[in-house]
Amino acid sequence: MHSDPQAQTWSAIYHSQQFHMLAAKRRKIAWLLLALSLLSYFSIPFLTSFFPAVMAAKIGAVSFGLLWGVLQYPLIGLIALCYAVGMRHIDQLANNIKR
Amino acid sequence: MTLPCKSWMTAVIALPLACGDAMAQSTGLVSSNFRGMTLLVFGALIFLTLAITYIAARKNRTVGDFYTAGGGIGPLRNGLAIAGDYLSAAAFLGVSGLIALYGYDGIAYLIGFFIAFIPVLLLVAEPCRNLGRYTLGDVLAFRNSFRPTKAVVAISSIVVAVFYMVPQIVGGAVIIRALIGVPYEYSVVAVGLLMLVYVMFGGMRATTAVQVIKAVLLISSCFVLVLLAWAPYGLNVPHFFSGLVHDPRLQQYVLHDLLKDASGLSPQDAGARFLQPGLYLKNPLEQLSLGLALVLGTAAMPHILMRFFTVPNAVSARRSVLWAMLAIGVCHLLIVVIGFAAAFYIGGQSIIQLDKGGNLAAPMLAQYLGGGANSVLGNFMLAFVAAISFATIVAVVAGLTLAAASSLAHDVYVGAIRGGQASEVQQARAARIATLLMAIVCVTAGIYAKGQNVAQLVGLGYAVAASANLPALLLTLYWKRCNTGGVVAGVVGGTLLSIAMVLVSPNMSYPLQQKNEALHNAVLLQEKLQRSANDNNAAQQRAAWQAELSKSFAVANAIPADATSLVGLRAPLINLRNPGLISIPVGFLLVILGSLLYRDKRALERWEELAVRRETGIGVEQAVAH
Repeated sequence: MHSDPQAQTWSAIYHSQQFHMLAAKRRKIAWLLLALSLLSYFSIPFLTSFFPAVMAAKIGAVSFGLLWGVLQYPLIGLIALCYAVGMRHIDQLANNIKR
Repeated sequence: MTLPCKSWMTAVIALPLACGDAMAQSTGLVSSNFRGMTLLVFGALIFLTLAITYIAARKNRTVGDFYTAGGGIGPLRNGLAIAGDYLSAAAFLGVSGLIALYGYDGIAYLIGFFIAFIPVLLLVAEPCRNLGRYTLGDVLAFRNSFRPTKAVVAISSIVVAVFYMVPQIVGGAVIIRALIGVPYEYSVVAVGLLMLVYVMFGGMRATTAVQVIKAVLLISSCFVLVLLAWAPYGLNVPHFFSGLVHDPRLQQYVLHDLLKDASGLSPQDAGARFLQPGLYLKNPLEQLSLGLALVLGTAAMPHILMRFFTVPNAVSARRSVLWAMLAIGVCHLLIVVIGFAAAFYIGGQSIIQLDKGGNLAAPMLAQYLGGGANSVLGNFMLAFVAAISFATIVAVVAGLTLAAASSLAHDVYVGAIRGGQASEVQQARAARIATLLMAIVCVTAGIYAKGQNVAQLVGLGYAVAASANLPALLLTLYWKRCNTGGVVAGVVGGTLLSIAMVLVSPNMSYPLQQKNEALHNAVLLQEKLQRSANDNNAAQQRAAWQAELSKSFAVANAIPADATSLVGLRAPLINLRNPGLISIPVGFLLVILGSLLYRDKRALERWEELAVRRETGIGVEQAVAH
């Protein structure tokens, strides 16, 4: 269990401008990227159910569905990279608070 | 390969296996001439992992070493270990088989396992490292009431681990039998014993090493298979796919075997049809439900979460996920190619003949690309793929056992029963006893489940994780009002609801449906027999039909008219195989309702500390070295 002065320190950080900015930035980037990736993934069952012709469309020897499915890998990888790059700045903010 | 220099030692280790083999009745895909070489490859791999365990065991001193390797594993090694934890035999053998048999739909299934790491990366990995020590229970007990939280979360984590583990062991043993003819029970016991040695003596260090080796071997052998498969096309991908869709054997397979001659497609279109959706996944709602469970469940899988306690800080946790995603993504893409290559070089009909589920597609492809069933290289490659499949199973099972054992020992025994008061020696003993218990549970379950269709349990494991553990974890981390009442309600409710929904779903066997199917089959056979009554050339075929007909009647007659499923149902109550679509939202709702109805001063008091530590990692050193 923590003693009172410690709890006051946590509270002071929690209510500081710096922490507020850090938490808000991280929340924004995380939810935005999460929404994008879910949209990208669930577009597959959505297209398969409602627009089967789109998924079956031929592009060269393969179908659009196959191409879109395989493309998920670079797309999701890109989203993960965006997060890593975005977090660099946020790590800096966290380090400032630590000090 | 390290094979030649170690062969004398491996021969010693392989000996017991060879003796067991002599008793095997069934012969596998490997012909008896090459059985010795196969066992050598198996022996070399087992020897390598045991040697690593021996080295790791000498470094292990504290409980922290056992559970988390002292928190000192680097991001790359941890990322590869996550990949080794996660890439199961189901992904490697199962999905490549699905793609070989049904084309595109196998991919739609695979992608969910990859994108599942986005929630892990964005929402779970770093906060877990900042707030926890050994288990998910630690993170949840940070603000929620210690004993009840630890008890319920540990139990749901163990349930998830067991659901996930049993199909790995059962599927693995079936595949090993098909490949090299080792009887089912032997391979269940071998997996159990090896895993026990790794985990019990080597703890997290050895488990990590085994998982890293497995991931590297799996990915590199997939890479070699892909190179060999594409070499005839000069590594030109469009040419390969063009060759695939214009392959007459594939076209015939799609027309006759998949579409049952009822499509009216031209052979040209039939080839293209293989790369379009709908040959395997026919219910979009089902796809959504499974997809949801996969994507959200991974972020609450105990063996995945545990890996974030093995790194020193949140930045390393994040980098681990990125490395893991790279390794898993690359492996998935290679598996996709292996699936299509098997469809092209081996053909769906031949694959189904050996295994209905297509699980042997990748090993068959390896044998073919190495030069065929009678070549040394072909059989060496088959042996290598078989050994890697075996290592895959052992590595995944070891990770799950360690996670389940840590829940049992650290959360239930030290946490809930002793209220966190236990000496280092007591904790270490508890961890090893829990490991032994889990090994006994998984070997017993594996032997008991022989011949059962347990593949659906994997989906159920994900569904329980997503409906019980994830809502409790996410809301504890990110919702100020969340408290003990919500966590207990959500975890207990989510677990029970998921299991209950599976008990009344089409996953269970319904004797009356089987009876109707048998009768329907009998009618079809009678029609066929009538139609061919005057055809003298079809005598042999008619005899086969006649035999099948009497078998169908026997099946139908053996089932009484009032037979019911395990829980007393004549037909499924719901039409979803995976409960995720309903149980995940209900899980979240239960945590919210429970939190609003229950008053918990501590949960609210510690919110500010949790939020600050979650974001900044202040105090994380404390968590590593008490």
